[in-house]
Amino acid sequence: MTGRFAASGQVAIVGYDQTTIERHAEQPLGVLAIESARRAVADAGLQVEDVDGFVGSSLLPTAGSHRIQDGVSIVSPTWLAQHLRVNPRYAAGFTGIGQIPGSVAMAVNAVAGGAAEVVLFQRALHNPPRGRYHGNAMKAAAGDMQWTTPQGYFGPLAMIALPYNEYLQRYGAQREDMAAVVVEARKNGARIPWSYWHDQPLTKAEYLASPTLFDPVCRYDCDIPVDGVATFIFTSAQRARDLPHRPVHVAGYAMSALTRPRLPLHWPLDDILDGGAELARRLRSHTGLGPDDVDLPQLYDGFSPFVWFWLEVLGFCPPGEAHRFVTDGGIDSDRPGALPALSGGGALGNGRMHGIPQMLECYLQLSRRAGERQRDALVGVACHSSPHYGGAVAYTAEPT
Amino acid sequence: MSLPPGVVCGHCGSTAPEFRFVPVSGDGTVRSWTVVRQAFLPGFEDDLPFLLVDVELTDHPDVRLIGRLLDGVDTALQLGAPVEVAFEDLTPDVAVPAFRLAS
Repeated sequence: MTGRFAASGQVAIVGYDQTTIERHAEQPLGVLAIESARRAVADAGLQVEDVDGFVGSSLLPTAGSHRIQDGVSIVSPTWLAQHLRVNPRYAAGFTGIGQIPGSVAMAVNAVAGGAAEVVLFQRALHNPPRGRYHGNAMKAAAGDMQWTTPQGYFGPLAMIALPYNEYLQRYGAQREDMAAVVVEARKNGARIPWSYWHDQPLTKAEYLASPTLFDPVCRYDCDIPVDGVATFIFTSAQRARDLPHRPVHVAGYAMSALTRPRLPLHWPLDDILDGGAELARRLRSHTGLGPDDVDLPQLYDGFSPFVWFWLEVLGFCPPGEAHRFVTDGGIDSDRPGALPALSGGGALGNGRMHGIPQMLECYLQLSRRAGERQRDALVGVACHSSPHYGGAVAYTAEPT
Repeated sequence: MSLPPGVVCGHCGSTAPEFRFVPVSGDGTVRSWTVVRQAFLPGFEDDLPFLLVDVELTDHPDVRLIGRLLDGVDTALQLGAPVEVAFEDLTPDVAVPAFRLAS
C-alpha cells in the first residue's frame, strides 16, 4: 500500500513534560512517571480525567541481567493508568524497536481512529543502581546467541562497532571525524537545563583522548544510562485549537523492519543503509515531505555513527559523505544555513532517553516553546534507533 | 543455507524447514572487524583484547559469521581480506568457529 497517511495533520501534540535527567534519581521511576504525567496533562490545559488513552514503550534497553519490575525499573502504560487512578478506554504498549516513533504511531492511530480522544504518551528510562548497565552474568548462551556469544560477540557496543568500522574502511573516514558529531551533541546538550550534561560540553581533545572499548567505539560514542521520564499529550487537531499551547501536528511516520536473516546483534552496514533507504521512501510517501522540506531533522545518536547513517539515508548528504558533511560544519546548530540535526542535544547530549530528545526538540521548536534556543523551523523529523531497525516521525507546525 | 536456523526458513518461509548441518568450505572475506577491549560477560576478561571479524562466506555470500581472528589483535586488516576457517577449542568438547588470514 502506498500513498499519503490518511490521518496526516489530524493529530497533534498539545503539551509535554520532561523530568530532570539524572544518573540515579532519588525517587523511584514510578514516582517520576506519575509526577511527569500530571505535569504534562496540566501543561496541555487538561485534567487527568480527560485522558482516555495511554501508550508507550517500557523496554529497559540493556543487555545486562537486571530485574524488571513495573513501576521501579520500567513503567508500562497500564501501570501508569492504574496509578493515576484512571480507567482509560485504550492502554497499550509498543514492543518493537524504534520505541518512540512506534509509540507515537499508536497514539496517532488511537486518536485518528477514535479509540481515544486524549492520549498520554510516556517513556520512562531507568539506570539500575547496582551492577554494570550491560554486564550480564550468563554462563551459557542458548537460542540464536549460541552462534555469537561463545566467540565473545555480545552487547550493543559490539553491535555498532562492526558497521561503524565498515563505514570507516569503505569511505576512508577516521575515528577523529566522529569527534565533530559528539562535540556538537554535547554542545547543544550543555545548553539544556534538564540534560544530564547541562553545562558540560566536550572538547575534541577530550573525545580523542578517550580509549576505545570496542574499536573504533569509545565511551563518548555511547549515550550514558540515566533515570528520566518524558510525557507528551496527543489529541485531535480540532480539539487542539481550544488548548493553551500552539499544537504540533503529526504529518506521518515510518517504521523499518529487518528483512535479511542475520545473527543476533549483527547489523552489516548495507543492511542499515538499504533498510534506511526503504524507511526514507516510506516516510516521503506517507507525508509528501522530502529532505528539502525538512528544516529541523533530529537524528538519532544513541551511538554516534547513527548520525552519519541517518544523514545519508534521509538524503541530507550523498552516500559516503556524511563524515565530511559533519566535519565541514554541516550540522552545526550555530552556523546559519546548516542542518541543526542535533540541536536538541540528542541522546549523547542529554543521556540515554532513547529517541525522546529528538521528539522533544521537534515539539519545542515547532510549538515555539524553545525559549532562548528558539529557531525558525516549520517541519521536523524525529528519528529513533537504527535506520533499518527503528523509525521516524514527521512533525509540522501547521496541519498538512 | 541459513544462519541462524530458526522455526521458519528465512529464505522460503517454510514452517517445516528441516534444517540440517551441511559442510561449507570455510573460506570467506572480511567485511568488518572490531577489537574487543571490555568484557560484559564472565569468562572473557583473561582473553582481552581480542579481535573479532565479520566474515562473508565465499560459497554463500548471504551467510555472515562472526569469529575471532587467530592471527592476533595487532593484525593489519582491510576490507575484503581473505580468511579461512579455524577452530577455537573452548573446552575438550566445545569448539567454535574462528578465522585465520588466508595466504
